[in-house]
Amino acid sequence: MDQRVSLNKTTPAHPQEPVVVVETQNWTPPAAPLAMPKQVLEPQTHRPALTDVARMLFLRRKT
Amino acid sequence: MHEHLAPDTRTRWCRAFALALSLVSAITASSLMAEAAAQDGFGAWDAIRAGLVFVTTAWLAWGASLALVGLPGRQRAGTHIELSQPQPRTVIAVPICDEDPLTTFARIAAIDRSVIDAGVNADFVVLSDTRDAELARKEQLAFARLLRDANGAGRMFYRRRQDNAGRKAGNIEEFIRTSGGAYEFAVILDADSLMEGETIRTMIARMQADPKLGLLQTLPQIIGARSFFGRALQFASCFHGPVFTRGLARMQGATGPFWGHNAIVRVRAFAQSCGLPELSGKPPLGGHILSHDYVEAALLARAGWKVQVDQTLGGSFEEGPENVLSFARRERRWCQGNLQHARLIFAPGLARWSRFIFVQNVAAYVVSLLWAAFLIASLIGTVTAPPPKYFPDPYQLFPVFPNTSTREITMLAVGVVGLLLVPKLLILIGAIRSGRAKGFGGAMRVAFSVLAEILLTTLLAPLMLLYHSRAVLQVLSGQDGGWPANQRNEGILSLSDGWQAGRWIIGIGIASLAAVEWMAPNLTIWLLPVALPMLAAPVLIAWTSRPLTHAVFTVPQDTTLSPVVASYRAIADSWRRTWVEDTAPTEPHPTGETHAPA
Repeated sequence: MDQRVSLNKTTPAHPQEPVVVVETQNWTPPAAPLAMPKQVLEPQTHRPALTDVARMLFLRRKT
Repeated sequence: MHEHLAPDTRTRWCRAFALALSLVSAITASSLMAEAAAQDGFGAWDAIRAGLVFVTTAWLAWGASLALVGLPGRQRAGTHIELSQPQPRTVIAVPICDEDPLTTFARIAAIDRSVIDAGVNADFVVLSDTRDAELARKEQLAFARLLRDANGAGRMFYRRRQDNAGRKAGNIEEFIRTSGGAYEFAVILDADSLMEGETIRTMIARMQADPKLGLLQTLPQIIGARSFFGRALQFASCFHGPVFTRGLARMQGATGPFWGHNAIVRVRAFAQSCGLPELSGKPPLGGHILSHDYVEAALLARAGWKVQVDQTLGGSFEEGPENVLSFARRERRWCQGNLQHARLIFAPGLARWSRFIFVQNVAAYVVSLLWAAFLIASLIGTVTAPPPKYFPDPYQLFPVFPNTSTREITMLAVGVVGLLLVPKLLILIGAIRSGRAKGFGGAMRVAFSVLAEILLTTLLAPLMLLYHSRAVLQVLSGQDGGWPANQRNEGILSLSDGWQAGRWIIGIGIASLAAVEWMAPNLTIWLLPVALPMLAAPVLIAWTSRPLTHAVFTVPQDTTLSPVVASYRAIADSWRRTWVEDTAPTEPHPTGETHAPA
């Protein structure tokens, strides 16, 4: 994104005034990455675990 | 549960008291209801009524218990802790979205001056999620002005996101992901927040002194209200708020609340534990978590970090809604966010208290629907009741008149009103005895203000009941209200505005009265306190939005302006005078709209 902002992009109210250009490149906060892992909030379904247990029991019986 | 988060003895007692009060009140109320209903035989509808009375009374009593727990003792600030050197790197983060640039940046300028005066070294970052390109351009001009005036290059930052994924929570999260490593603490503000530098200094010192403290929340006082409604809200937040919040603090212990702003967080703790996932499914109950602050507080506690609220930390301010419609619109947003919490009650690893908070957040809105259900069940219960038998025996000489249930119903009504009024009256007595009432205009004026606030909330209660019920039904029927930007500084509402927004309430009022008068005329008198305010909804909506003098609802800020508030007003005035050409129009609603539909 072009972060240069100029008042002259719109019709200037006072054309005789000097051009006001705002440089925004140095406005961004310091780069200092920090990991922010996504949290688990919804209860995990127990179905896979139950299926595993059932399969194990079934196999055990089978053998 | 982490050992240092376990409730201490006082917290356990406070919780036990609140639970006991709620249960005893609920059992008493539902017993009275059942007794009254049993006069003509106890049917299924009576059982439903008794059940609804149980839940709604328990909720009222829970609110009353917060005040009762918060009342004992004087409102004193905790032990002063000095800021240790070297100062930890702190950032004051202001997430914004489609806000008025002039006032937003003028507030930051005022906080900056106050922070410098307090000897605090802090960076500022404005995290813009503004979608409107023209408004964003004005934000950048306003930021340039702030940089120039505050000589803020290198310590004041501005960034605008390409998208606003995750809304406010996502906005803060993105900042922490990209820049969080540079800071130990972050003070999170809203666009309308103001904080004294001394308060921020104390908060940093408190965080330094307790390495397990993950978040410290202040109690923001509402300022700048002008309308009847706004000033009543401001008075309530200023006068009753500290007592209720102290009750909350005593009850919650180390698993306290986060209200999304006017708080300080330990950045590492926040990053480690507060990355919010999207909920499965579509909005309104799925998707981004809207009321993210309560979830973040629960997640911090889950990770073992203390979360505390301290109502004695002064110098923390915000603005509030100025009329019923903007209040109802905010409630609609919060309702959707809070109902999402129902899906998080069984989230893995949460502290029991955090789960209970989620239950409370859901109950706060669902309870209105339950009150409405109670009124309907009462009507049906009366209509379907068997007719009285005056001669139950075949050879009876004198008739047997049925017992009336007036005594039980009156006792029930008195009990419910008592739960609402007693806490406020006790706060009033406490304030007069401690001298706190002086700041609110003295004993007589504060008593008048409390009375006026009770009358106003009583009149508006049926309207709020309907707004809440509608919001819950909308969310449950899958209507996503989104999370629209705040609309601040809304003007006076005309009677026509009130009619537009309140005619559906009149319709419900007329329909209710007609139905009751037709089916059970002896109940009409009981319905009048609810139905009459509904019929007057447009007048109430318009009238309460009108400006009010300081004769009533006086607050300390009317006479003694906090330095940061005074500084903000001076800066905003100065910028308005000198900045018209660059940034006009500065009003948030240049089209002349005073409000959006509620």
